[in-house]
Amino acid sequence: MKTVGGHGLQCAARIFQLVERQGIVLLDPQRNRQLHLAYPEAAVWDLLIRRWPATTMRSMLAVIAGIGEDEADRLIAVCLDRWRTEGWLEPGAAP
Amino acid sequence: MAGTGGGAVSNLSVTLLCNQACGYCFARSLDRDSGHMQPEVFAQALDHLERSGIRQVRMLGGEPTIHPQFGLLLDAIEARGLDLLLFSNGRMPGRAMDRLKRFPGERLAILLNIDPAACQPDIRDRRVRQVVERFAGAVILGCNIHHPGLSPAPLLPLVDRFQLNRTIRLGLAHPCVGAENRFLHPRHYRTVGHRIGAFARDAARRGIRLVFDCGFVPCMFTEDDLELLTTLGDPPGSRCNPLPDFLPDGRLIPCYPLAHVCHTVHRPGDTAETVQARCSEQLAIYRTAGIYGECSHCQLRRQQRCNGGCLAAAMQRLRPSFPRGCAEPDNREAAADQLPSQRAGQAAAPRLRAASATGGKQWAIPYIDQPLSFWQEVHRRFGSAIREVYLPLPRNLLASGRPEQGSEHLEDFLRHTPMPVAVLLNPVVLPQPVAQMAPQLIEALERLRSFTRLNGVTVADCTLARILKEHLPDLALTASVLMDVAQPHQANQLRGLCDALVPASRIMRHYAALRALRRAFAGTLRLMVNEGCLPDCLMRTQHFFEMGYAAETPLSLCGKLVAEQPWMRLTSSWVLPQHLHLFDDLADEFKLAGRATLQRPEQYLEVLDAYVNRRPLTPDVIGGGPASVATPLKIGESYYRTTLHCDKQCHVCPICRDYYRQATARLNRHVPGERQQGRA
Repeated sequence: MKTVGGHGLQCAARIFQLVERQGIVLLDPQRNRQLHLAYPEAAVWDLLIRRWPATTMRSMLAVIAGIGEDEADRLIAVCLDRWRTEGWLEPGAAP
Repeated sequence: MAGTGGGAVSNLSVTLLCNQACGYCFARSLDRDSGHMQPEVFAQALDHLERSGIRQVRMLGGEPTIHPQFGLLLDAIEARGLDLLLFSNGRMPGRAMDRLKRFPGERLAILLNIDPAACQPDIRDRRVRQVVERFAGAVILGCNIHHPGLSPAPLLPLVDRFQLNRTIRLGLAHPCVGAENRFLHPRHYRTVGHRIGAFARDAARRGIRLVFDCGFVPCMFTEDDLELLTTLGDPPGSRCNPLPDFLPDGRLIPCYPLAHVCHTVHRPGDTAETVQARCSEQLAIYRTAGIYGECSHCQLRRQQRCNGGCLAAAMQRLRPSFPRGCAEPDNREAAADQLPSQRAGQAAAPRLRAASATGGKQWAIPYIDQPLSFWQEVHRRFGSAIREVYLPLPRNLLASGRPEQGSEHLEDFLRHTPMPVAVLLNPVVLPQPVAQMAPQLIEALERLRSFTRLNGVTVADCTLARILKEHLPDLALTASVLMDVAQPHQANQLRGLCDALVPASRIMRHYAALRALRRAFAGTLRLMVNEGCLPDCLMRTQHFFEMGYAAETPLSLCGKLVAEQPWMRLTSSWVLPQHLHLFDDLADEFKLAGRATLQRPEQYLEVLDAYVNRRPLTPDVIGGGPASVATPLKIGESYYRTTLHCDKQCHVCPICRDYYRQATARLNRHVPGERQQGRA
């Protein structure tokens, strides 16, 4: 499986998502757990799994969330760190 | 008399076999080879019901009355003093009807699921009519709404006329997760709710009670209608946590639509409640999903007045969090590896239709005259993806728009194929007035369905469709590509007539037109993937006439034209397997042409495999028509996509001309001498 967003991470296997009106819900049936993502975190996830390059992702997120690119960078880093720690993302091979 | 609701329930599916082939049926998705429930399994199931305090046996199928030991099963129920609610399509064998008649009347109810259109102005099926006449007050009418245009209204007058039970049960056709069946998409619920509202008011005036099966949601009704339904005593919205159902092999499932996601075996001492708890635990994580994106924040759901609709329908909204690249052809297998249902033993994980490497679509495929072993191979490899195998009637009855085919193996195929069969009644023009032809066609179809699984008929004429609908209402009708439906307003003419539509081939490369048709036609949209006609070809009608009626295979009338302007072949109405995903949002299912062009079995299997599994092909091998690309050109997706969205100004546009010249040049550079390998 390829990496997401050029961050050297990949979606954990067998994660499903549900696009809701107010965010995205991640479901992990194997571990029987779920994660509700509101915006703008939901936008980070969506951009990640669409495999936008990191630079494009940063600028897109800045536009979507109405924040500066530096702040977008920080938000992406925080999200990635959290989702990796919680097992929603896993280390993957370099793209 | 036994009723339909109240208290704990559990269904016993005593057979998965049926004498009908309704496209929406839940049971069709299960392994029909598991056959009939054995009497000892049935006895265990009855023990289970009694241990669970359930006094009503809800027996269903398939069609339960065709169980070869139906009488024995009824003996067992009767001996235990249990009630029986029998779900039936009414087409009962005579011996089953006789046995039912001896069952204690006060403990019997027959839920007769019928197509309302088949009851207008009268019940046309002789056996169904016998059931309502013989069992009268024990009969509860019901229908499964599988189409937004379906109206239950014709059921109401039957209640008084035959003195039936004054209850009507309404069900929605739900999707089977991990399988394919026709279902009512939640986007149509409001249309259906509006119709049910009017129906409920009429029912209330007649003193007829409505009972709703699972999956109805309050937001499909207006506030007034919802109030009326609540007043009548059966507010919809909270029914989706069923007690487990027994399959013929003794396994337990929460319900048919979730059978592929969750099933369990009976353990000693189990009751309905303990099994239900196990199933609920497996399914709990998916309960987050409602059928709409708004469900998670809906007040009615918070107040537990609605549970978000059918869980199986809600699970259609789940998508795997794959990176986008996985949808590209070279990564498709990797994506497929992640599909949850492909790992054995992990029950609580759905197979996702839209995300699957095969697109999750079903196929109508052509009959070619091959031994039964060939068709068994087709069934083994592609069975779950095959909607039906279509074939013409004998040419002395009706020409079929193609040169006459061989029929050496036809009878063997018809008698033994495990796949549903559809018949083509679609010559470009009928050779006689419709009214003259119709009786013999109906007779032929009735004869055919007496020994094969006849699923439907494809027609090219609305009058014939109307006559068939009237006389054979349980057959699905498909509007042929030769009906040339290309405009949304034409879909209106098919309303209430055709269940499926194959759009005109001239719009197969016209995305906006297909999308408009998709919106206008509420039934199944079936796209033909490998026809090779030029869009708006001026010779098409005559060509199809000559193919149907000429003694010999006619020459292609467009041959000279495409020889002079070969780039036009790029504009004809085919789609390659690797580009099928561009149509996933438009098509409910696909059709493979090839009665004449795919007669070699190995090529047939290669092409079918490529389309079903989305493996790349060049256009010269897909079994198209006279204007197909005849050489193994590589067709890029971006080019193909452009042709779907262009303005069709081919007389001045250079795009296809240039692409053809470049692609041919590339081909000549890379494979000199192989230019003429493809078939026309």
